[in-house]
Amino acid sequence: MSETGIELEGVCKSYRFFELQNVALQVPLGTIMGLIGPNGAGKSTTIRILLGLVHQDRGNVRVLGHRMPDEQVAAKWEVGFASEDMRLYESMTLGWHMNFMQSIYPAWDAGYAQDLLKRFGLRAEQKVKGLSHGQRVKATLLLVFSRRPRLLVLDEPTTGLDPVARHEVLREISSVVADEDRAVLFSSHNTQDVEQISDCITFIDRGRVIDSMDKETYLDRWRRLRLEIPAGITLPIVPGIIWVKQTGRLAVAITNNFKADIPTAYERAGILVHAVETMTLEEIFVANVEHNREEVVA
Amino acid sequence: MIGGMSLHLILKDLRQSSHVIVLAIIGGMAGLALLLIRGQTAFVLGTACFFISMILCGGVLPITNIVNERKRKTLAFMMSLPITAAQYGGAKLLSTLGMFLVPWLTLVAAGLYMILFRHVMPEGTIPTALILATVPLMGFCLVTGIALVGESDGLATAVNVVVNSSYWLAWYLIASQAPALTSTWNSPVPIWNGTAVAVLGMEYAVIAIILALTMLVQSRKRDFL
Amino acid sequence: MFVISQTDKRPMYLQIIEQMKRRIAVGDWAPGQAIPSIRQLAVEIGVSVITVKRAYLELEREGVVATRQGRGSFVTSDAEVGARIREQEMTQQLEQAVRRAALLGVSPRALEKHIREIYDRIAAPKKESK
Repeated sequence: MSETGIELEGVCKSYRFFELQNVALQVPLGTIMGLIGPNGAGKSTTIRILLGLVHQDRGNVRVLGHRMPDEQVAAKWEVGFASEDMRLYESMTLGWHMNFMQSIYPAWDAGYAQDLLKRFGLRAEQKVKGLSHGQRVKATLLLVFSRRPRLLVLDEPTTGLDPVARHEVLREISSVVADEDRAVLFSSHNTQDVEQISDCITFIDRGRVIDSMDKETYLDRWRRLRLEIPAGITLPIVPGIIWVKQTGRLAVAITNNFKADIPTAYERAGILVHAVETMTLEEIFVANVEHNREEVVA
Repeated sequence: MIGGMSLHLILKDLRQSSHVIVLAIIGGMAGLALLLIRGQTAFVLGTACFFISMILCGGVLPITNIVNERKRKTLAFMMSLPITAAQYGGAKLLSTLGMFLVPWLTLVAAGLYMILFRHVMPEGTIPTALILATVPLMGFCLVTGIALVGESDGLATAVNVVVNSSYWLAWYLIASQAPALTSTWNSPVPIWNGTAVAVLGMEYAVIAIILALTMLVQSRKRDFL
Repeated sequence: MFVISQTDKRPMYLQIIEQMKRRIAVGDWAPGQAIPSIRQLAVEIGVSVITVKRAYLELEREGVVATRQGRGSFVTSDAEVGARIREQEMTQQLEQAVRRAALLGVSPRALEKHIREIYDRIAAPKKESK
């Protein structure tokens, strides 16, 4: 099959105080896409459009080859969705929910569900009412994972989990794409999770996609340079540098389009390049949002 | 429109709210049993208990079955299942209406049985009794429709309170403004005069319009969560 | 078992390269031996496929790993690969030290002397005690 996991193209959606503008992104099968961005950037709206829960004003959305929202029923048979603000029925047990899902989805894997129950430290007989926040999140994910859907769409799947549970959940998510015919899209505020398990990254801010590309390329483009500026020399403006801060004779510069000629340009100006450091996704996130905001202001 | 998925949803709702139905039937039956004790007090208490059970059931179901789904955020869970907003709406409407109809029909049938076979009232009261009993069904459909279509818990609750507390007024208006109905009460057989048929027909027409409008608005929704 | 360190500031793919090389250097992965596929290793470590893929590509470029279409990946059949990896590792660390010294304007001769002193202080006494 040559179909893509997710394909968004020119997607727009207007609300009174928020607008999603021309969102485009692709999640090929066999890959995990991490969706990151500040609060209110449009991550959840994008995810809702993907599932046909919100209809886009303009643009094309395809999920596993199905046009959304028109073919949402066919798509949802194959999509597992869990979001941070999704709740289960308080008065029912987890076991009841498992039976309910099993009665609906023929692909339900009862053995895997039992396995997850054990690994997540959950009990089927327990009512949802008595579960802690973390247990609820795990229960919701168990219901989604056990269906073994071809596409997993997870909105903030690790929020509120303890480190052990987070580790288990990340492991489950990354094991999904052991099968090259499956894909995952997940949003997270935990940039470390995204950095660890995603193949592609889409960065959304203020309703627009700032970057969408494979993670290695993305991380590779960002560098932090530590510079020493000898007396009598002024820091030159080097193309590709988006942020510089000088204190005394030391300076730090950040680029989002690193090339070998950037340190060379500094050296040619008589500046000592002490280090060229890679940046974590967290650091890139902050630098990117600040840079983006400055550009908007300017 | 009722595919396998809708059936799953309806059965789930039935299971979750079965206690409401059982309680309503028990309450209504208790009211009818009171009618067997002859006398003014027993009659008033009995009919009150009968209608209160019906009204409480009609007031509770849209809240537990529809409003709470949104408020307690289980709606996202439901909408992740392979259904459209229209199918979800249809299933909800059917399950809520079905759950109300179980006690409603049981109680109406039991009421007719009491009139026809235990002679607690003259049979001439049957047309009026049916008209009065249909008022809560009509109100229930209105509350259910608004609960489903409206995005606001506050609105649904407000409509619920207003509707459920106006039944007495509606009944009073019907009884006082339609002498053609009340005049036949003491007849030994039910008399279906023009007024009785027209009023009952109007009630069911209103119910049909409410349900159709609900489905229309629901299927045109573009943003579901 | 691969363990990705969160306090290690280097990108994950570099950490994976290092740990794969170490396996080869110690002989756990022998020359010519088949190694896990990119996807298998990604699932085992719990990191993204693309990160592991980058590590494999890098190792292929260095001639440490060979991937044959449809047959999977193998450690190069060069019997000396382990020794080569150890030497390369040392060279890299020396390069870093030399680069630093050059930046500080240390002359080659002074650097040599400095290295000699460090060697005597750290490594030589151990030899004597043997």
